[in-house]
Amino acid sequence: MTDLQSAVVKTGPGVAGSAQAVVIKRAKQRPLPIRFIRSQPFGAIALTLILLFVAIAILAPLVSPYDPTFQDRRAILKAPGPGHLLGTDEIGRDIFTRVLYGARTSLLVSVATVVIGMVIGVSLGIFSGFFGGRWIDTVLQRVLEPLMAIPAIVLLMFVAAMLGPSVRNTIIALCLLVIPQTNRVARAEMLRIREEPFVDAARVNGAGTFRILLKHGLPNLLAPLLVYGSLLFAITIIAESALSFLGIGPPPPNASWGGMLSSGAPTMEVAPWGVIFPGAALSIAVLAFNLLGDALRDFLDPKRTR
Amino acid sequence: MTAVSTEKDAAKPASGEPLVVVENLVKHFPIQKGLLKRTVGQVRAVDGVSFTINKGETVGLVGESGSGKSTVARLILRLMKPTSGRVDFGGQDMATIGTKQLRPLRQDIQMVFQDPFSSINPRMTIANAISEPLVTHKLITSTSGRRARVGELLELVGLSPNDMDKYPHQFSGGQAQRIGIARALATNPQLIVADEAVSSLDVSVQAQVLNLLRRLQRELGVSYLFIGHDLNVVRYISDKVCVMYMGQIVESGPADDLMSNPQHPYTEALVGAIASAEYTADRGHGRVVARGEIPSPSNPPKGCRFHTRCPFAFDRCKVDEPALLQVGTDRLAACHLREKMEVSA
Repeated sequence: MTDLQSAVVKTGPGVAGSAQAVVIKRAKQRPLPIRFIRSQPFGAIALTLILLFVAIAILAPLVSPYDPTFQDRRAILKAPGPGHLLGTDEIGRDIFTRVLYGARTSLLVSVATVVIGMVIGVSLGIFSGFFGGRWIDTVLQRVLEPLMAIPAIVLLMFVAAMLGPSVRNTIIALCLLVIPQTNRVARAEMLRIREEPFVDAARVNGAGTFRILLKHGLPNLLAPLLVYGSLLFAITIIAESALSFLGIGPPPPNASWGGMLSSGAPTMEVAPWGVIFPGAALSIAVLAFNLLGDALRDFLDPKRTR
Repeated sequence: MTAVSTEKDAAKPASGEPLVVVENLVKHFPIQKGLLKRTVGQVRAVDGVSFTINKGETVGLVGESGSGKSTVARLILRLMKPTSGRVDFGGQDMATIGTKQLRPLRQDIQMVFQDPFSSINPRMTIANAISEPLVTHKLITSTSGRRARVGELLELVGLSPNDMDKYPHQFSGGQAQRIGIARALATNPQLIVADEAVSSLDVSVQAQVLNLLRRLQRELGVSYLFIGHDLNVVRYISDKVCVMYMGQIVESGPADDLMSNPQHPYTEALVGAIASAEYTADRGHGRVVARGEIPSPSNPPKGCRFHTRCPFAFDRCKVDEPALLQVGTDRLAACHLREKMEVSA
């Protein structure tokens, strides 16, 4: 007790009950995954699907029965069945294999875009919104705004067409789309948080700029960004497919869901499996990320009962 | 609330030693227009405010919204820098002191906010929120020590220490305001600035929080700057009251004296606006009513700032700005009417 009292520097004699002060032990909480599953069952299902999707993408070479570029000339547009689980496409490639490899392309592009886009966009947003004086903020926003003014698909087509179709260039094009948006989200949140009375309270309590950013800014920024990030995965997966569909995404023979939809479209009436399965994979992946985003939003809201 | 007000005078220690001396405080906000943000005018939020807060004393600051009360609070706390003027705290000027020297001083001046919920980080447990000043000032370095202190503080404000790992939204408004008070007390400050600290609470809860503040003052000897617009509340808790109008103090004096015998027409109008038989009945003449709206603070009226709304205004009020003059024991008022009466008497 004595060391405690000397630690409480100026606690006067009037401060109540220091003699019988008892340290209250922090109540034990259930582990995070269990809390998430219990409060967000749909989110948990979505997360499982996403993990499955990631596993497939990583393990594609091990689980797929064929080479994704192998063309079986004797099995063109074959219906799903034994041998070719989901059938074959117009040049005899196994659709099951290509759906698995398509997950790979989608994942690579979306992870790279979201990570690069978020890191750059969020850093700029925090800088602009929290520290930015009049000039930094104005200049930065005026530079990024034109990028937002151009319709997404036009911007994507322009960049992809200019740089040429490749996985790397698709990522660059998508980053250009994503950075101004994440910057805006982070900046707006930061501007809001900066004006919150609890930031004034922290300053009155002796917190410096760094502590305010770390303890009050980032925790309040993290939740909206996590939600936004998971939706961004869905957006980039669709955008990548759209680019591939238009033939300016990752070029063939790379397997990509968008590319498969595009090449399967002409024979859709005789061989619907050519578009149904990549389309289904695309829909499920996008739906899962959207569901996860919704679940995260609810789960991370401190006003929800946990 | 008024029924309890008799016990007040007996309880206060009348130390009379000045703790904070505010001298001629001025804050002008530039009005900016256009693409280049040219400064086209000034909002004179605070325009030459002086008052003293003594140790163990409560000073009430009243006025309409927009009168500059909260700006005064933010200036004293150095949440913003004044345009000019001094805030003397223990020989140091809060207005000009460097950031490094300011940090340790922050232990001694704390604040209770209007909205308890938005003034506590919603993502922090209240234990973490209350112990923040202990962390930033490195007062208690061990977590268990801090938790013991938080428990102590929660008991002091009448909450259960068992709730310290809850989040702010799990409490009611009154409880949350007690948490805000506990946080303000964590470093044993000498001054607590309460900016509309009970305005967002229900009337019954208001009384509880006010009584808590008074009990804490008795026990800890802390001074308050209590900002409010509810005259009953301010009278109940304050020893001294300053009435602000358009960035200036128009009248000040001991709380009960000032309310029962206002010397400035504006104070009279404010007191008259309380829908209470107590104040209106014992005065012979009718109610003073301030006409119209508060003028724009970017273009305050010449002369006495209240003359556009004052029922007693005469020619001199339109050209000559009245000074804050002694009108009785510990009473100051800025009104030409009083001057005239002094001279004729």
